[in-house]
Amino acid sequence: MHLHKYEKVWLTFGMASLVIFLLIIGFAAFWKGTHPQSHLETIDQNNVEAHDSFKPENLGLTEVADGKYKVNIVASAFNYDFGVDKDEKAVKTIRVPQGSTVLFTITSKDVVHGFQVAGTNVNMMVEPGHISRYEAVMKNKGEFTIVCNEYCGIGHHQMFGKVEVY
Amino acid sequence: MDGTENNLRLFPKKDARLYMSFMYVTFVSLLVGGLMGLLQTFVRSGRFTLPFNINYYTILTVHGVILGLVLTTFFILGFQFALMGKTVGISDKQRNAGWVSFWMMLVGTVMTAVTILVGQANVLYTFYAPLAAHPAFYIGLALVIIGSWVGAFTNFRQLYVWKKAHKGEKSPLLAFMVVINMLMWVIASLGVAIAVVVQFIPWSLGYTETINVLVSRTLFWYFGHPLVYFWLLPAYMAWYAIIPKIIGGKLFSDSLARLAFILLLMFSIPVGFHHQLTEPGIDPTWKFIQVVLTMMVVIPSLMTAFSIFATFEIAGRKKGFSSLFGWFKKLPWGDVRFFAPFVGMVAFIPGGIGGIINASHQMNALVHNTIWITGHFHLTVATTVILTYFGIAYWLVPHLTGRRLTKQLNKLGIIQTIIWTVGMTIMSTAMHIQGLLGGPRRSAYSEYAGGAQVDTWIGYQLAQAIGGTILFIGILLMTYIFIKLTFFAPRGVEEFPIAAEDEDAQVTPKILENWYLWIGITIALIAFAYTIPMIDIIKHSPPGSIPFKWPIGRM
Amino acid sequence: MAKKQKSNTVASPEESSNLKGTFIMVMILGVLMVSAWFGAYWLFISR
Repeated sequence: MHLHKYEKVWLTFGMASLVIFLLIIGFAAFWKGTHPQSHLETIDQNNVEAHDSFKPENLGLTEVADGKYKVNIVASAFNYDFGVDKDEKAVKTIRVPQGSTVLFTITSKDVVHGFQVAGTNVNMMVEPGHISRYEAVMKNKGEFTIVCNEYCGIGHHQMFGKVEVY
Repeated sequence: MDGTENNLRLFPKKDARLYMSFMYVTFVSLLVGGLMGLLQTFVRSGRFTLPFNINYYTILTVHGVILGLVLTTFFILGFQFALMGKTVGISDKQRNAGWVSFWMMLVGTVMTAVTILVGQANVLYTFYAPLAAHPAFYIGLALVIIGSWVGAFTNFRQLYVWKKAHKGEKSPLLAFMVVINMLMWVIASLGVAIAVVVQFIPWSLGYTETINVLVSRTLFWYFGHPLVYFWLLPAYMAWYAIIPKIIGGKLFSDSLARLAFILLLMFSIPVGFHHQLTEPGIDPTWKFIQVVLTMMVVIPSLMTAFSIFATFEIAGRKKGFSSLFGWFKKLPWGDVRFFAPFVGMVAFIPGGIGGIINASHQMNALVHNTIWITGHFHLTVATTVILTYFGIAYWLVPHLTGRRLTKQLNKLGIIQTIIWTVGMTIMSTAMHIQGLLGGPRRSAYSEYAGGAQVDTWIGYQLAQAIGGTILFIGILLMTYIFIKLTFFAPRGVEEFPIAAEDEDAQVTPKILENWYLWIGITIALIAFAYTIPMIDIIKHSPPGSIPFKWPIGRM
Repeated sequence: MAKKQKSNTVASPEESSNLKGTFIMVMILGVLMVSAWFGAYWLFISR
């Protein structure tokens, strides 16, 4: 089989670019630990409260150390359960200071959902029987909408929340 | 190939009728699916609500199933049957098998469509277990797939019979390409067929209590990515072997075209995890391995880009244009059979580049399930692929109906292409930007928690409604052209433009037709990419999920 | 794959053909690809 010399140059350039892309994301993934969300922990979706993270009192935002937070969420059609505030009202907004590290842990009680803090890299699939977990540094100030970005039924677009980084 | 003479010989009526039947379904689907798309962009603009209590997700499901599965599969089977008929011929028995395939697919389509329209299957075309649609939805889809297999095996048989009669000759390029595409389709759709037959149908009928959600998703995406290549390969067939004829040139390289198709067969299947990058429950190392394989499937497209430009340049230079880009200006811009696919090729540049970004492992979090993805595949399938299909239809339909593409219809086709380009540029660009800003896909209109971010999204959704309206005008025009070409254009002979090889072209290496080798490598790659992670997934399964009907509005 | 230089030592007709325009076109495409990818990468890093 014969390749024109320009085609050889072109394919070499193209393949080299792909290799560079792979090296960059591979390095970031395996050495820096920035794999996409792949938590590999299972749970009984019919009894999520049995798991420590999803006990009603542990839902929502908790400060675990200085500048380190965790947020536990239970998703169900069509709601994110972030726990309740002092007045027993459902929490819909998570407030954290700029630069803080936040570990989001979420699971689903029923169908498949999504969990994205729009405008950040927090973007996970949430599936029944699996726990999704992603740690992010909130680098930028602002209001970020939490959206369910995976179809979960006819109320899908009514499933949301908010993260405020101040 | 005996060149022009064969290109101008019309099919026998009974053959043409089979090929045309697929075209009718294609263009009815275009109109129905396009209307649904228009309504979606209206709803998402926030200025319009659907009448008669129709649910947004019903029309979204119709849009996805009718355009992504029905239009494409029918067009591809019809076009490929015509290619096989032209290059290797069809026997009476094979034609009958073609009809069996057509009717099975049509019955399946009608079953599925009715189930969706009565609101019993608001599950979108990616199924979304444990959301449970009515069993008729899954059974209809199974019929469509099995019907397409009947078509595939008929195509295999057609080439086999031809090879036996032409010992030692290489198979016609287009027949070779059709067989590659159908091989890929059969191997890939086995995954979704297993999911539907083994998991979804018994579960939706109540014979099994629960479904393994992650297994169903993995089987679906094992099929989901080669599906997009199944759409793309017929477009590549036209770019490699038909466009050169239309611009007055020859094949650039028979062997490189075959090599590209073989690479596409091998690498388009073991890559499904790049649709599941942000899922829990799959080992990230295996995700990365499939990301690497995904990058491999870019290579045949890099080869294709070179081949196409080279075809243009060589054809232009043979006509005597010696300046660096003089050949480019002299391409037949006024010929819609060239112009529509050309726009498709251009759209594949941002489309392909976007695809590389999407598949880049952790970077997928930037775009996953945002409307950027919708913008991406409206460039690839809804521009590159569909404009090339239109470009094919402009000569295929009159060739089948014994009519001519008149000057006036050609001009309408050019206008159609321009309308499509404008509409899609507006809609797809707006989707890409909104997606980067975090706007989700697959969502009805919502103001979420309010605020500046959501306001920005809605602005882009308005732009999408404008683009969508322009596109729908393009669909109406295309439907008009199709009706004209089918029933009203003047009688005559429209060419079936298959390009010939250069007389002094190099011999195609025999190894390129070693089917056992290529199928063997394909299966080995799939086994490598899927065996261990699949065992992992099954071994570490959570409890199965019962069917959920109420979230999709079923009683 | 690309290394499979078979025993085809016959002088090829393509070698003589002028494909400069093609080469420039594909390289533009390549530059677009690389810059778009790094653009997205930068956005990912900055978030």
